[in-house]
Amino acid sequence: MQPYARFLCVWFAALLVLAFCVAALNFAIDPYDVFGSPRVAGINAQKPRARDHSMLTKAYQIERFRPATVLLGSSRVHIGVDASGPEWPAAMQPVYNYAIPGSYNTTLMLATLQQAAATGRLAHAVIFLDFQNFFVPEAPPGPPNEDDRRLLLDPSGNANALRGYQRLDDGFLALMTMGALSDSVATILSQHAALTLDIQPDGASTDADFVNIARGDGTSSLFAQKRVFEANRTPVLARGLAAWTGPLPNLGRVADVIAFCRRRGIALTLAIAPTHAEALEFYWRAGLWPRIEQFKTELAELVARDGAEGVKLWDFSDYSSFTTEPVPPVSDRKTQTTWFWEPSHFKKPLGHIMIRRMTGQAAPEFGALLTPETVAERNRQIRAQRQAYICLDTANPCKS
Amino acid sequence: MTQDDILATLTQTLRDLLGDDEIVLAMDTLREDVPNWDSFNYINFIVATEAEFGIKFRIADVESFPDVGAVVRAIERLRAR
Amino acid sequence: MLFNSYAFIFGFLPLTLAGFWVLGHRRRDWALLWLTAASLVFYAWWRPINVLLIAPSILINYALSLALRRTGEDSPALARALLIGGIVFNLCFLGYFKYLTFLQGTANDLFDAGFTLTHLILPLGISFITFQKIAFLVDVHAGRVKEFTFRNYALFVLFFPQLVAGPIVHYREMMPQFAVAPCRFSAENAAIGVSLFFMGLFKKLVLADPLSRLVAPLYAQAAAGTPLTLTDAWIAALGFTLQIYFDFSGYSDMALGLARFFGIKLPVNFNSPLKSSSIIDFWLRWHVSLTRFLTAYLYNPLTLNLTRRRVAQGKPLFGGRNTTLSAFVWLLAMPTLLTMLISGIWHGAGYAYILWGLLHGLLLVVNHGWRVLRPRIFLDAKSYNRAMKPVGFVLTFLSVVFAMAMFRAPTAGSAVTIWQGMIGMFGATLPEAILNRIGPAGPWLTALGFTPAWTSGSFLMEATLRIAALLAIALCLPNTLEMLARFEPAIGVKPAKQPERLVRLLTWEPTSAWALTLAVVTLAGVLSLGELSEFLYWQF
Repeated sequence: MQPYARFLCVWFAALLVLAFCVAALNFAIDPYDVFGSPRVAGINAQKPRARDHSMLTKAYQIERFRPATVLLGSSRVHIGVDASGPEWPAAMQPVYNYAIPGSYNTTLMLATLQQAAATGRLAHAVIFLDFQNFFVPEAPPGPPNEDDRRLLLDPSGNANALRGYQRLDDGFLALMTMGALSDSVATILSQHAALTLDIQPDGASTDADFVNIARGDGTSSLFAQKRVFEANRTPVLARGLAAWTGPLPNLGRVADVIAFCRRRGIALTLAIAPTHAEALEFYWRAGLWPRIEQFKTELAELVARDGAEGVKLWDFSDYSSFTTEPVPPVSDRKTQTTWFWEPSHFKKPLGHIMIRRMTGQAAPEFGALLTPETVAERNRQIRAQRQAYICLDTANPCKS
Repeated sequence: MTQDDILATLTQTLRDLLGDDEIVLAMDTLREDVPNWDSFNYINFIVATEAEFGIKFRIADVESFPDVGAVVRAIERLRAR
Repeated sequence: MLFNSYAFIFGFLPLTLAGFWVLGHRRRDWALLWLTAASLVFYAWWRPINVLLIAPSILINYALSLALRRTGEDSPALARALLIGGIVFNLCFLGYFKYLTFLQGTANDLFDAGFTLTHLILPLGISFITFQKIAFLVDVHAGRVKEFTFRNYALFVLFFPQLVAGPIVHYREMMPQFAVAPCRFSAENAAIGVSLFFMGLFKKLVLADPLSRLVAPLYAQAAAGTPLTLTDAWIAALGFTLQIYFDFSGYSDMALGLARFFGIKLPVNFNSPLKSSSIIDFWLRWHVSLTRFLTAYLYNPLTLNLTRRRVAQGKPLFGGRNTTLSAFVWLLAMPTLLTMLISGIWHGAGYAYILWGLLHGLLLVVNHGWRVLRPRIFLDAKSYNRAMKPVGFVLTFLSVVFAMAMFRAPTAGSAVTIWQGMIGMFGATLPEAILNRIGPAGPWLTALGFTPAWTSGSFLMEATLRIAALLAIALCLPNTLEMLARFEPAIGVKPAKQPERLVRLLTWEPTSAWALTLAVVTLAGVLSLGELSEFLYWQF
């Protein structure tokens, strides 16, 4: 054979062999847990790169897992609430953590709930709400994107016609892309780190990312970064809401969630997620506190009106001993906190307490059930808690 | 005027322009062959040649002279008019 | 259709090639017709209406060329009128689609004219196609192109490897090749074709595109009026310079490779421009076919006319040691600035492009001015060149990087924000996590004025590593033209008489080692196809 023809043959054959090897490697390592390939210790037991594809990973995981209880929420729930463990009553197990880190919103809340219900065994839903999600009106959902297309149901609750094509596309993405290959390699290389980020088969996360930053740069630096974030965000939220009248934005989506659970006979627990007092102060200063109180009042009324007996509403957003835990100063890189990684992300022990509270087990006093009857008193109590909190600060003249 | 006469005139023009008496142009000389004959001096050379022979090249031709021989032939053609 | 899409690589290209080779075995003209038809499909793929927009322009241009050929020598005045009419028609066609909205906006800005902005579909590659058609008309008028048929003209205009983003080719360098192309499968051409194409794909997808994801947020930040710190501003400018470098380099390689499949060689378009040691040199290496076009059809006619006029007036000329200031201004500075201004406008309808063009014009004028002045100051040219070459390189590099910020920035104002950041006007910060981890360098940097910031260190790390790696590739490695020089990858490319060691080491040959290397490069490119992105030059 002449050299050019041989060159072409070698090139093409090598290309096919290499492509097959890449696909086989990606299938075996399965960095996004799409195929459910076995997790082998030291090779792919932990999947650190699934974190950046959580919508993809969790949609496939939950179809295999078929939970009795689903946990929904943002990254705070993803990191802060375990899906397995003795805190969960036997009747509620198995539990899947379907919280989505990143850009969470109420549209996603309904979509993930529908996906969970469509897997067949769902009887309970525990949904954590962030009040920030109700301060900016969400755009109406656009045409279905890939995250919508791969779900079992379409937004109106019918079987999803686009799913077959999307699953092919997902399989291709997970097998035959550079991203998947580099994520497979990264997965293998990360197994021997002391702590590796992972989305476990039950959807819950190891908190390796926070642990590593907290150990390296200190919890104080995590709090410092969030301070900058909230200082920028709260005035924007306040400006956006300044002229808003009537019920807060996006509450209709909660009504949709309640209606869906009633139709499907799913027991629903709603919970307003806890935030560290240091961040709450930014909301207070931006003049958003009445809006937070309005949110709780309107939510309590909505649950009472639409929810009847099956729906419970818990409020963990307060100035209690948990949320006012002292923050180490910037110069201190050593001291670790017990309940919070940083102002908005709570740690798993606090998650455990909340599960015990919501499932009626013995637990420290934290949070309260909200009803239209109790909400006014609850709001008043929290204002009193706050007054006590700011008076602790010696630099504060304690006047406001 | 023969091609050789024209070549001799062109050689003298370019020598004056570049101040280099070593230059000898032939029919197959390329611009790259002559040191310092950059695009500016090329334009100057063309204009000086036009003045010398009392002719005017077409702009498009100026662009596409592949070698000195093409210039010589264009001069012949224009003078024959 | 994008070169870097699944549909192109796995559908269009294999089908087109198979059809071309099969038909070519029967009759060559069938194969060439097939290629023309395939090119039309290629052009219509994204928006079929593109074809309807471009077809009348092709027909009118063809009719004009026929008329030009007929009038030719007989009546120069009529031919001249036809030529000017044709150029004006093409420029108006381009102007209507590309600049109408911009002109309306400018009129609104300046005179409060109150135009409603017309938003038109910009036919793909219209700027390139227009220039090519103008060059053809000029060539016919000059008698450089005499024989042409409609089939050949259509193939010349539509030939898909260079249709959308160049290189801008001449009829006289393309059609003789088509006239003798065997139109049959040639293992040699195919081997060189896949090598060029997939090396280009790798540059585009693996080297250039990740930078785009890094720098885009920085330009958005500048556009929103937020100041950029020293490091961010430099990442924005350097990052984009390297992004467009590998994007365009990759595109040019892919175009060369595609044409080679059909046995056709395209002209050189991109030749390691960052290795330039002067701005003049830079423009002889960056977008070579555009420089060639602008020099031949704009700059030279302009200087020729101006020079004639000065000769008639008996004024001194430009060149050599006797150059006067007025000759420099009128015969060099003005034509150069005008040419680069038009180059800027050609790249896009926006003030930032215009300023970018003028900036490069100014740099070229300074470069030429120095070439006139330098012999008066430094008499020993040889030792000067040896000593100053590195200085020239650094100055050129910095000029190009600064100018690129203007090229990329969404508005001229945001480019100024980036420039201000680059000279440290908005302060210098480093992520706290990095300052803490670099040992004694930390306090030293702090003393220099770097302050700690609560930002993520991983962005800075990734950007620095990528920029350093790509700079090393762009500045140290031989380019594809050098690697494949023995096989004339582009028109007129020949191997250097004494190639450098690295070039010798990386010379492409049809060996199994190269085939395996290319398989890895190909797979990396193909695996990266998932993240679709357009070539930067497809927008012009």
